[in-house]
Amino acid sequence: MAFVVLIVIGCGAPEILYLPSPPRELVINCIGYSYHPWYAYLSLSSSILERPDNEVIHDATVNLYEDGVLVETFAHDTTMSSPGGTRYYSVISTPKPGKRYKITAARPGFPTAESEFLQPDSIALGSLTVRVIGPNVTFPSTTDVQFRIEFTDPLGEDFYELDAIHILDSTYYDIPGTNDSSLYMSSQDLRLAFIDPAYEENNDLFFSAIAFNDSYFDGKTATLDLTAQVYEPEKKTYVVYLRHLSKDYYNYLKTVYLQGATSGDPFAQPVLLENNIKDGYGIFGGFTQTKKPLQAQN
Amino acid sequence: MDYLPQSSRQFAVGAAGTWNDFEISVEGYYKDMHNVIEYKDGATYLSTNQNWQNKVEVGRGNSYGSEFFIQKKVGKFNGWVGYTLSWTNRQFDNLNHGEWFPYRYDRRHDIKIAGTYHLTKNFELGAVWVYNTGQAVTFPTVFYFTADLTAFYLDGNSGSGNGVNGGYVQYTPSRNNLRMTAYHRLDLSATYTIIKEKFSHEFNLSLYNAYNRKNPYYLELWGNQKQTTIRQASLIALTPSISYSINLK
Repeated sequence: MAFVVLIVIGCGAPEILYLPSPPRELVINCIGYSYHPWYAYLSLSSSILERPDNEVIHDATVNLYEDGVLVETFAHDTTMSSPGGTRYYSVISTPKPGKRYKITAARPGFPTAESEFLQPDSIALGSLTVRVIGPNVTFPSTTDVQFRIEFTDPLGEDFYELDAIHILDSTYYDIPGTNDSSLYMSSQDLRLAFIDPAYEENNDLFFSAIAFNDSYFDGKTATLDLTAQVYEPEKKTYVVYLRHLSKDYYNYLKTVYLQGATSGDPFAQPVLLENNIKDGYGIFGGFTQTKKPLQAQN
Repeated sequence: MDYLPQSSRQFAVGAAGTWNDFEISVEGYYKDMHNVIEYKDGATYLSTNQNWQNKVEVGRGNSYGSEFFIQKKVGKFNGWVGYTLSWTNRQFDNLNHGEWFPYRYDRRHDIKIAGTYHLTKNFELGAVWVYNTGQAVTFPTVFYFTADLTAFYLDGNSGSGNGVNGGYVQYTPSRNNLRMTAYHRLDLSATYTIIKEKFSHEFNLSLYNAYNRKNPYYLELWGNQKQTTIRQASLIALTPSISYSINLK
């Protein structure tokens, strides 16, 4: 007791420390989604002791190279600047699986930030099943469903994200003034969780899409069993999405999510964020997505 | 997951000798360590939904340096000086991008000086001074905005899944990238002893951390709308104490 009293009395007022400020650098956030336009968000980093800088960066030059050849200088989107940065976009090019991409962002007064990655190949979804199991024990208003998902993993280190939705309603409606119609869907985004304890770690990481690597099935056919809870089990249609991620993007997703999930916890270990931008910060990566609808079995 | 027991090998070479009233020793050492463990990024001590084995990484480490020690045992004044120059590092495939980093207790300099002066047969004065290089800590240096990643998933509902919806993130260049300020402290004492036939009385007055050094305990980011600062909290400032003891013979 006396020792505790001494400690309390002995506690000094906190001292303020000063750190040298690291120089401001460009931040690039650019994720390539195969066959879709490129979007790159540019912003500036700040020292941890400064206030955030939401400056609109209108004077940058953002170049994209495909297999070493300059394919496009991105256009500056003057209509849109989100807190995440000023948007630059492609007009003619889209990411293609198997191609290596490099991005450079140059702005007067700053070092040129650059990065590159290999756009992942498309991975076909194989056999898919979903079975309705029964009421969930913890949340009886929901029903457990179980997915079995197969796909063939190529040799080498690969990274994936699996996602699924449950279609609750779908209706075609006419687009006014045209002869076209569009499909309206309402759906429930499912929170997938691995059943196999070997993958247990992955279940904690992401909100609903679940990310993992191929360490347990490298170069083989992966057969994954996952569970989820649905509200309307009588609706039978589901869609499964498989995203083949670039390694840096996978690491970025994992570390950004983990940092967010543990912020404010004084007992958590710090999380080192993935950063693959040379002379800058952020992420340049990509994914290639395949999807497949399926009907539930009872 | 099962982990192998930790193991290490240590090589040391040293020399010791006596010069007048002084005993002197010098030693150099190298130690490598295997199957050492360290918490993963983001692992939290309070979470009970994971086995501890899932919260740690297994890797290797090394430690090397030299130690110098000199001691005087005779005379009115006696005491010793110890100095260690050392490096202690760790490497884990899944931490710090697989690169070596200084261990939390990596201390480049460690100095201890202790002395006692016998004023009379019954009265002695003592002093101890310690100095350590500051502890290595992991601390962010930069922050920036990460884009809403769902913006890159352009076909509607499939993108809402990853839960990474944009916001400020903190960037830390490496594990244990920052040093706290050095730890040093002076302790003083005065002891008066009365020796009787069957027991002795001892009166002691001491000052812990005599010059009231605010040694670092932990660092935290602290801020409001106008300013963000790094605050260093300290424990146990200048602490006087008095003691009385009886020693039976």
